[in-house]
Amino acid sequence: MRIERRELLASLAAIAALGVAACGNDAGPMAPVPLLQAVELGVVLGSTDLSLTIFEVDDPTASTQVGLGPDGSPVTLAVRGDLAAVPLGLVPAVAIVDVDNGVLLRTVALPTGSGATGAAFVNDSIVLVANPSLNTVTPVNVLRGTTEPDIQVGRFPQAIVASGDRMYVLNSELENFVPAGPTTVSVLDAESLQVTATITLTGENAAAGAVGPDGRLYVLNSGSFGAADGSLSAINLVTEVETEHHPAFGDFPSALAFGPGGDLHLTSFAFGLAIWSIDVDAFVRDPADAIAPDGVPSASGLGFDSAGRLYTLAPDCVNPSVANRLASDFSVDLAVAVGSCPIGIAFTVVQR
Amino acid sequence: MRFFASQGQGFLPLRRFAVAIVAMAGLGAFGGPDALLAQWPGEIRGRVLDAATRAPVAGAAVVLEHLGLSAITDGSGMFLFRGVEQGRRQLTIRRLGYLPSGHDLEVRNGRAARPVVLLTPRPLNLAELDVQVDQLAMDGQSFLDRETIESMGVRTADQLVEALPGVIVQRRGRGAAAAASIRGSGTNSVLVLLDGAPLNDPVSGVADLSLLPVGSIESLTVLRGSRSARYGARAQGGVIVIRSRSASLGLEGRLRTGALGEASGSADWGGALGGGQVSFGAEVRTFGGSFDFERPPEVGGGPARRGNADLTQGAVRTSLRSSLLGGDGRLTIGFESLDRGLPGRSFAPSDSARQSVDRGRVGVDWTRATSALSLSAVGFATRHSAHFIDPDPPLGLPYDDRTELRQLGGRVSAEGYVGERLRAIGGGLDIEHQRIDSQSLAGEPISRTDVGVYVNTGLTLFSRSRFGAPGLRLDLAIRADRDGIGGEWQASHDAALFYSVHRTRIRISHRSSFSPPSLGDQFFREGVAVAPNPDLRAERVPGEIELGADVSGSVGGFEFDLGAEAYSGNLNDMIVWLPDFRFVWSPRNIDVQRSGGAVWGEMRLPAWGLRLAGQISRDRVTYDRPDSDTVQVVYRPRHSASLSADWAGSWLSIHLAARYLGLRYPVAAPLNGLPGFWSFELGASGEWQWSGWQIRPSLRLERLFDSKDTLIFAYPDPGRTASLEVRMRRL
Repeated sequence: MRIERRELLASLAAIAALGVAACGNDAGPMAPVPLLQAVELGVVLGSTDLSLTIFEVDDPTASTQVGLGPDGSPVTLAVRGDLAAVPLGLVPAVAIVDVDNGVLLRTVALPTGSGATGAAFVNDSIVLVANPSLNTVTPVNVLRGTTEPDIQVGRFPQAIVASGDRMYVLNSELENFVPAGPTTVSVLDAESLQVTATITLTGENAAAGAVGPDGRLYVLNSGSFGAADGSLSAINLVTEVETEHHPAFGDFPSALAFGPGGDLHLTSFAFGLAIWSIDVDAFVRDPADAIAPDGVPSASGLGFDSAGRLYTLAPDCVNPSVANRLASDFSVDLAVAVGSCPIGIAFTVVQR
Repeated sequence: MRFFASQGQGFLPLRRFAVAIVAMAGLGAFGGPDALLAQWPGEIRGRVLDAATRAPVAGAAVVLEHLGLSAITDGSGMFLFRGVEQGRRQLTIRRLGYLPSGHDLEVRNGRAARPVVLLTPRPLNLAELDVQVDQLAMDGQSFLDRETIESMGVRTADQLVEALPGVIVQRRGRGAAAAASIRGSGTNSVLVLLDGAPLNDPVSGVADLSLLPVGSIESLTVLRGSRSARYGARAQGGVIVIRSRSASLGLEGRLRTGALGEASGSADWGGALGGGQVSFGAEVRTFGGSFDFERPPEVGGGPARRGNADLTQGAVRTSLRSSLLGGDGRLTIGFESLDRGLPGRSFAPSDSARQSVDRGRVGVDWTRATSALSLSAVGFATRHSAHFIDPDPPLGLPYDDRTELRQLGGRVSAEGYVGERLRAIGGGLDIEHQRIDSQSLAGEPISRTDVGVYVNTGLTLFSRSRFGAPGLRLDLAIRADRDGIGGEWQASHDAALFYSVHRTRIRISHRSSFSPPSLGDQFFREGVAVAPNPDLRAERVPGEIELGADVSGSVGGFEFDLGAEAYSGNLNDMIVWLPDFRFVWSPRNIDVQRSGGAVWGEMRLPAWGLRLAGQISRDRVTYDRPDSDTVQVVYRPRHSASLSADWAGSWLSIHLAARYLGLRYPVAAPLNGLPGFWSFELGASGEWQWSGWQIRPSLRLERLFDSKDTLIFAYPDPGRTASLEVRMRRL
């Protein structure tokens, strides 16, 4: 309450100052108004040092690290504009970070025992956060730091994809942390935040999803750890039906992103970087012939910047790690220092 | 075993208890303390130190002439005579390699004489009697005797050590398990010995000091730094040597009540039995532990209540001390039992997690010193049972793990006097057999027999020929330990040079140590998100160099002791559990850089009954990373400090203490740091006699200024609390 009053007084003072300035009769030349410049930022989540590394895509040396808090096990993030939302895993809360200024704005509590994992922005103010241990999602107002009532979804939701006026909650259907059934997808109306449909897929243990250039939702199923039964599901978002299921995606693939050419890129700790063509439904580089970024046949995440450059995350959980920017021949043309155990990367554009 | 089933409520209503204490205090006020003090005999609580190095002299034979009483100094050089009638008394102290020493001192009824005897390590007719209380660090150690322990007003062993230089206690809430870290070590790299038997849990390697109520402790010594050359495995960060309480003449009792539903009581009795002494004691304690608190903003804030934090604890003990085979023999039997809730972290509390521990122990020790040979033998048998259960954890899978430990061990050592220069040569053998049956470990019950052999020697390079002249001594020790699991041998060494001149003592040492993986690191049950590491190696400090100095003296009416030490010794292969990027956790070896030191001091003004003491420690323990060597290891504060002020009047004593824990990081990066904080405590105690009893009520306020910070995040503290205690002793 005290802070709000202080902010109110500051606002009033600022308005008064502006009013005085506006009423001034200075007839001199107007000072040039600085033009805002769009700056693209890369945001990398370090899961064991509880950090966000924020770097300028055009000048990766300009980076900053933000601590997310003294406890937690974050493995997912969502970014929109100059805000990032990071569910904190064991800590039932979501950290809201101003990525433009590199500061932790607030931490919003979620229901006890949430297991907070998976988030996606509904709009500029609401982020939907999954509570896998409660089989619900929580709408969080990132500007006010408040929450709305939980929404029941499928079992063990741990990823959310936003597309158009729909939110797709990927339910891993885990029990005691092992697959207990095929992946399901809860479809929510983005305005009412009501579940409108549930789609059952063929694969197990959904880890990530993205909407492809063909308008379909692609869901990467990790399968069981060590069983090498990863798979890919394609969902027609109009009929809300799984239209394709492709096995042989190797051992525990965990992240995917579409490249500028429309190919689906995916990473796994077990093989590195593989590429799947959604045009011909075949691997360009399959898990057995995967790309090893910087010679390491393993990667813990990936993303593309707006220029279509691919970044993969080096899996080092003992020391500070790097995000490798890959050239067209998949050689590393730049290594950006990030936190330890990096597990998620996203890009956003801010105005400066 | 359960004591007092009502959890969270005192067994004596607080108000009635307080009224009783006030009434007793009022009655006591009518009695003159001196008159009543004179009705009970005195005590001699002494300490024997090496005159050249000020190192404690263990195994020295102390004879109270004309009364036929004798004692052997313990590892801290301490000896104790109780029930000594007043008058002029003569002490004779003999120890191999030292000149016999005789001293007169005055014993007064109702008072404790505290001679510190300096034994000269060469055959010269010179000895000093320096009557002063010296509890400061010497040779990298800190020592607490029974009187100091009683004056601290604390409950369990962990609270005794946390104000000592270089020691940090990690605990997860009041009433929770508590373990010591020394010089930034892991808590499983501190060896804790109770009457020679390791207190470290075989599965975790960690010794829970909260299991030991202070009523069971006669003395406690903290040895900082690498000590494997003397104590073997796990003595890497340091060693805590605890001697159980015994042979207390007369009847003593204690009642305590306080905030958070605390209530406790104890009774001890000691008497003569034949030519020896026998004692019995028992103690119970209950603690409710529930309180309201505000969740920290880092986890979203909001009010919460700490529940499932209750504790019920009990201990019984007995000892027998007697002359045996020309030496001094001691038998101790003890049993400790504990049952407590495990409330978990504030953001993920558990209402159903419980821990119970039952520990029974038998120990024997025997020492004999002649003019040419010193012999000692220690034997112990322990049965330890621990049970952890949570049928409904907030996260993860239910568990119900029982661990049964049976251990049998012993140590024999001998030291022979050689001559003036080569002062002594000694050696010893340690054997310890353990059988561990734990549901938290994979496979069949584990049996292991660990063996350690060591030799040591002391050379006097030149001696103090008179007071003020310099002395120089070199001590060497090497030891080989065979791990009972893998069969590997580990070698450790200790080379220490001591120099003394006037009242200044300087030492430099080079030591090594090791700490093997715990059984939990090696034989945990595989499951979701955990995997073994077949390449796991023992932690090792290959070379720790230490430089220390201390000086004591007096200026005007002030007496002072000052000391400082610095050390450097990297730790290879520190074992930490780390996830890979699949979030599969395994024990791993990583290298750590270590250096630091401590400065301490104590000033006394006996005429005013005033004592001021303080210490500050710096322990730089950083990950050995290329181009990034400044990241302090998780939850190892680089700085810690403590200050205390005591005033003792004729019938009232006041104690004020402050403790500082510096910035610490909960993650392996210079991020998310938890700022340093101070906590204060205030104690007041009085002493009266009433109807043949000596009565000592005391009040203690913890977290005086209501600070709620904790070393480890998400284990909340209730802030300011008060407790009231009354100790009674039959005169």
